Amino acid sequence: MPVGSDAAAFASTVSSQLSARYGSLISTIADTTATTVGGFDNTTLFSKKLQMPKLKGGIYFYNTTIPSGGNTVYKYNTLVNTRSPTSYFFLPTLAAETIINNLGSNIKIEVTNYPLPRTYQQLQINNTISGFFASFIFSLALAFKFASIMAFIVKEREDRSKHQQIVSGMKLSAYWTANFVYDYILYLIVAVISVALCSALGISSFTSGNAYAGVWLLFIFYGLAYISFTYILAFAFKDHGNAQAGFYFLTFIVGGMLPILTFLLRILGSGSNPIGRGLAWFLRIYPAFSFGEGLMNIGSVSLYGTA
Amino acid sequence: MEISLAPIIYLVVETFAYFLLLFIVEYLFMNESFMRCFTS
Repeated sequence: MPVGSDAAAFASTVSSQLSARYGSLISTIADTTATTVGGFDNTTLFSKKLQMPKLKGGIYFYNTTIPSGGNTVYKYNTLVNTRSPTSYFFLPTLAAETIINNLGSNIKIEVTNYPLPRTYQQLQINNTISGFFASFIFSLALAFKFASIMAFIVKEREDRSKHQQIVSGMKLSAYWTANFVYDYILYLIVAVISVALCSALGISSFTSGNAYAGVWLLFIFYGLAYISFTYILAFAFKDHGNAQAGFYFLTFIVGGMLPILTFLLRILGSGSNPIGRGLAWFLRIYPAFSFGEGLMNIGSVSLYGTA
Repeated sequence: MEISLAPIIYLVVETFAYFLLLFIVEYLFMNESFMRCFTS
């Protein structure tokens, strides 16, 4: 630094200088026990951090200087608490100021932090993460809606109420159409609220440009396609409780988990990419997968573009 | 093209296909001679 032979005196001087310059804005703790930067990190700073959750970090001054041509290089390490976004420039500035002032000057370095906006690539990564989670959560939430539809259809058959209506003269086309219209209207309420929430919460990957129309189309046609599919699968169940639980689980796996799997296969590498693409073409036969994959694709379209 | 539109196109086609399939399945279950294939 040179810290000199009396490290304790140096630490005390630096501490009092900083207190005089910055007052109560910063508080410093001088410690001279550590003789290596590793020791300073593991013992001194670590124990201090446990006591002070808001600790910005620590500066380790070396007791040697490095001659470089006609100049002298003073060496120090800053150990930054990464949870504090200002520590990265605050601690090195403080260290430089301390060194210069100990050489006889009296200066104060002022730093202005004005971060640049996020880059296009950073924004795309954010959008992808939003799309990823939104797709998963919507698939999870809407699975409950279709499971409840399934339960009613199976229960009507279980209780023979469907049979009673048929023997009373009701046409099957009327039965299915009436059920379909009723279920779709109820679904639309949920769908409109879901898309409105995307807008209200500012999920830009779903609401900007063509993506918004795409999200609307996905929600509209998901209901149309999956309600019919639910009616068909209802024939496979005999108990409405099992039907509800089983169908919910199926929708969750195919609509929530498999789109993530195909997405990962696509972006992992050139070897797995064709497998992911091929799997997606096949799995889209299941409407819940189409919906989940569509939302995920809209959210991350710029990330994997033509992948 | 594939990424953004394929799932939507699939859903549009499935809307009609599954509704039609529902009536086909229901018709087959109601059809006595078809159901006789599964009973002795």
